[in-house]
Formats: sequence, structure tokens, C-alpha cells
Amino acid sequence: MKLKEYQGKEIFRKYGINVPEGYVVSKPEEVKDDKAVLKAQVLEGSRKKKGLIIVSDNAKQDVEKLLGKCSEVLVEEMIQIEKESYLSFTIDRFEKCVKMLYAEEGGIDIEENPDKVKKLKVENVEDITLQGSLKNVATKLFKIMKDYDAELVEINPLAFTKEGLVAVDSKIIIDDNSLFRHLDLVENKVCLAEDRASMCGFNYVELDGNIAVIGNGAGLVMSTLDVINYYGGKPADFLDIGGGASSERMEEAMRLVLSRNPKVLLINIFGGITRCDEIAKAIVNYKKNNSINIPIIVRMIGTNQKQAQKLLNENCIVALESMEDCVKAAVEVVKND
Amino acid sequence: MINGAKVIVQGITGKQGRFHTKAMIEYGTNVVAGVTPGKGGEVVHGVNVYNSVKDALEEVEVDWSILFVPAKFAKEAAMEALQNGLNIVVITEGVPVHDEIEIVNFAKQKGLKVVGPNCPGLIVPGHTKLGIMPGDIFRKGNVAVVSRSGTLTYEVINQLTMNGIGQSMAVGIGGDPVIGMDFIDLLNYFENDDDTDKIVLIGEIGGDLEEHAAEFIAEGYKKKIVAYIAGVFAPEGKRMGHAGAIISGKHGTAKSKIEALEKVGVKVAKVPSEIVKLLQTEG
Repeated sequence: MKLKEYQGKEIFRKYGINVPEGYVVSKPEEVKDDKAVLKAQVLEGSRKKKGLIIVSDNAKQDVEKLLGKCSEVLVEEMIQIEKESYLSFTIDRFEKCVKMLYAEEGGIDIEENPDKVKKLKVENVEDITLQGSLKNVATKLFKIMKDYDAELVEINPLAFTKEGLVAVDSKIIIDDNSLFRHLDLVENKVCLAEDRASMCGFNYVELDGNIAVIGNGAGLVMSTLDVINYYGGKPADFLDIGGGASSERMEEAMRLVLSRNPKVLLINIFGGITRCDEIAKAIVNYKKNNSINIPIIVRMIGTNQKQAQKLLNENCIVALESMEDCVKAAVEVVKND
Repeated sequence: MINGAKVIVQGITGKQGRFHTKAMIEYGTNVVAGVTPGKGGEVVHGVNVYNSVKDALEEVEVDWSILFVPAKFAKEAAMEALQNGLNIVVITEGVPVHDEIEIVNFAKQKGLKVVGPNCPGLIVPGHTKLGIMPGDIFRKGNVAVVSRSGTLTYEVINQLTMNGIGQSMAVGIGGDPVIGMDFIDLLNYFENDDDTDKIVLIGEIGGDLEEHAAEFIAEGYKKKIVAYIAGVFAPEGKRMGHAGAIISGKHGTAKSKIEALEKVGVKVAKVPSEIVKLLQTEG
């Protein structure tokens, strides 16, 4: 879960890392200053390049430009920066540890200069070899990384000023798997369709094609999308119902993907923990209670496959055994459309 | 690695623990005890349950523990098993990444093996199953399979078996950002395993384990490897189910993985069914 800039800065402040003075507004009249830096509170990167940050002499008017594009704007004092640097902590998957990244020159193009970034494995604060106030900030940032179960904590730029080091921006990504330890953060979460899906126990990503896809297991569903593309089709979504899905969860998944009006629905289930008959029951039920005017193509194999096939056959739904045959059939439907 | 292993099941009294204990015993796995704190004295499918790993070890000898413990308690349970000198398979999905780092590094210090978390486990067809995979799709043979995914592994195994290609071993290493044994550890093992002639490597988007595997293969790998990478058409910045399966910027794309593997002579299948053809062709 990504935190917004101001949420990250609140955490920085709590840990004693200096941040510019500022406040969040959602209406133009809430702006108290004329001279200010206005920063749209969106989660995407490269805000400066996209015009989502305005250094303004007329903040009360300029803020309207940003409030048209997002719901919250951070209004901050301008600070005099002498030098910009870069500091972050991240997870190194290959070495299976936390790494500190530091560069003397920071800024928005840091990714294009990987040679200038020093990387250091950090297991505890003693491993942080920076000096003076930098070490102080790094130590606090490392504490945030651990306390908040973060995948990434980043200050870019970390500014040298007359008053000392200041975190001009904040980027914090909390590990979704750890949210049970950080329920206070979850309540603030914006509720998107994709988040609602994850609360129902499945993984869902919207795509822009017309073949709706439901499957079990992330790898299998990703592979299904690839095979669809390989045969010239375009998937409408990625939906992994997860392991051991109940028929209710499956019906919920069908409701979600069908609400986006795809041309065909492809269901690809390889039952291990997941029982095929539960999934078949959901498909039959859903079809009975809702009018579905697009073809449903089902691939079902594995645990309780026979019971599932019987149930589907009785209700005039054909299930194939090969994933690639199913994909070819789905692509054919769309082509003939 | 697991042939003849004496196994305990941590979290044996839960729904998944019970179900898969039965399935593992039926497959031929030597399950010698179960552990669930507070449930000591119970019996699950003929297996005695103890309150702690230590209690179990006072009664039986153990080599491996398989964990069906909820994510919240997975670290504690894993550390307990490692503390007592056991290799572990962590089936649990949703373990926080900082917990994974602690588990994996502690195991390394102790010289023990960790498979997973968030994995289907490992199986030696016809012998021993330490996992949740449907046993009946596997056949004994000489192709080893190593994968970051669960059901996609079943898909590939099923196609191998239906085409008369048996397996020496299959390992799901897990879909999380930080995992125990990785591609290199298993490629190393398979290279020296007399039962394995060829290897199928199934990767997916996210991270750089496949690229590191390619570097390892470039040092002169002795056996034939066929690969498949899922997520060629995955969009950037979206987590595709697995916590580890996310493309960030230029990193973690299927293209970079496929190129890295092909550069070191590994044949990469475009669709799962092509894996069978690539295994059957010479060279």
C-alpha cells in the first residue's frame, strides 16, 4: 500500500525527520498563503514533469488547477535548498535483506544515474556507515522501514539547507501482507474496485481488452493472459480467485468481471486446494439468477473434476480440459463479433 | 533431499493442515507428528499432536517441518522449527516481507533449508510429498521442475505427464519477494542429482531471480534447461496476484528474463504446451 506524500511526512515528523511546514487542503478557500509550493496528493510518480507540483506566488488561485485533478493538495512553505541528495531503504530480493541506497546528488532523475547510488546491506543501525546528520536521518528512516513493515521508504530529494537536512518529499510503500499489524493505516485507504476485490479474497487488475478472465492462482492466470495475447485476443482483466475459493466467492468474481461488459468470459480452473465442483456450482447458480448474454468458456481440471463436469453438462455448459483450446475458442468468439 | 524424510506438520489441527496431512500420508510421506499450541494430546489422521516442536522432538526424530500456520503466527512457528534444527516448508500465504527476511537469514545462519513461503511445496513423484499439490498428476521420471507459481506448475506437470514425460522432483519456491531456496539453489541441487536429466524452470514477472539464474547457468551448467516465463503481457505497476509479481519501471519484466535466459542458451517456451516440444527436441 502506497502512502500519500503528506501521510509519509506525518510519519517522518513523528520520528524527528525535518519536513517543510505545511497543511493539506481540499477546497481553494482553505489556502492561507500566497507564496507556497502546491503539491497534488496523488500516488503516481514524476509529478513535477506532469505539472502536478506548482511553485506559486498566487497559491489561492493556482490551487484550483490542482484541485481539478485530485482531491487533496499539500500546501508547503518554500525552502532554500543548498544541495539535494537521495536516501532510501528498500528490500533486496536476491540478497534477501534490507538495503540502504544513498546518492550525494538526488533529484527526479536519480533512476537514470544508478552508478552514483551507493548500496549498503543494513541489518541493524550499526550497519549505517554515513556520518553526522545524514547518519541521524538514515537511522530514523531505517526505524520507519522496520516499524511500518515498509517495502520502500524514500526521501528524494533530501535537501541540505541552512537549518539542516529536510525531507522535501516522501515515498513510503507498506507491505500489503503486513497490514494486519497496521490497521490504523488501512482505515484511511481509498476504496477502489481493485481494493474491494482484494478484500473479497481475490486479486484483481482491470485491463482494456474484451475477454474476461477468471482463474485460480496468480501464475496460471498470468499465463492465461499471455496465451490469449499469443493467439491474438485481448484480456479484459486479471482475476485470481485465490486458493480454495467457495462458490460465493466465485459468484462475486463473476459479478465483478461481467459488470464491465466483456464479449466473452473465460474461466480457467486447475483444482488443487480449489474444488472444481464448488466453482461449477457458482457458474450454474450465477447463470440461473442473472441473464448472461455472452458465451462462457470453461476449462476445469483437477480436484472433483468429474462432479463439476456432470453439473455443468446438466446445465448445458461445456467444459474443456485444455487451457489452450479454451483460449482459442474465446479468441474465435471475439473475432466473429 | 526429502526422500525418506521424517516430517512434522505445524498447524495440523487447522482445516488445511488436516486435509493435507491426510493427502501427504496417502501419498507415502512419513508424517511422524503434528504441532499446534494448546492442542497437544489430540490425534489427527493417526498422527499425535504436540504443543510445541520441542515437545514433539522429545518423542520422535524429525528432519522437516511443513507449516500451515496463519500468516500472523508464521514467523514464530518457523523460528521455533529452525531453532530446533528442522528444515521447513512454509505453505502459508501472506507472510510479511520483514518476517520472511528474518526467517530466511536465521535459517542461513543455522545451515537449514527453507522452501517458500507462499508455495505449493515439493514432491518426489512416487515417493514423498511435502506440499499441497494434487499428487495424482505427477509421474516418476527424469525431468525436474522448479517454479515460482502453484497452479501454473500443476498445468505444466499435467502436460508433461500426459505426454509421457515423468518428473524426478518438483519444487514450488513461492511467489513472494523474499523466499528461502531460489532457482540457483535448486539448479545446483538438480545438477548433482542422478535422477534428474533435464530441468524445467518456470518463472514470472517481478524481481530478478531469473536473471540471476541465467548468470549462474552461464558459468557452465551441465544439464538441459527449458524455461517458461508468465506475465509477458502484464501491465507495469500492477501486482499480479503474487506479492512478488510486479513490474516496476524497467525491472522485473518478462522480456528481460526471457532475453537473459535465451542469451545463455536456455530455450524459452512461448506457451505452456511448447515446454513439452522443447524438452523433446535435441540440443
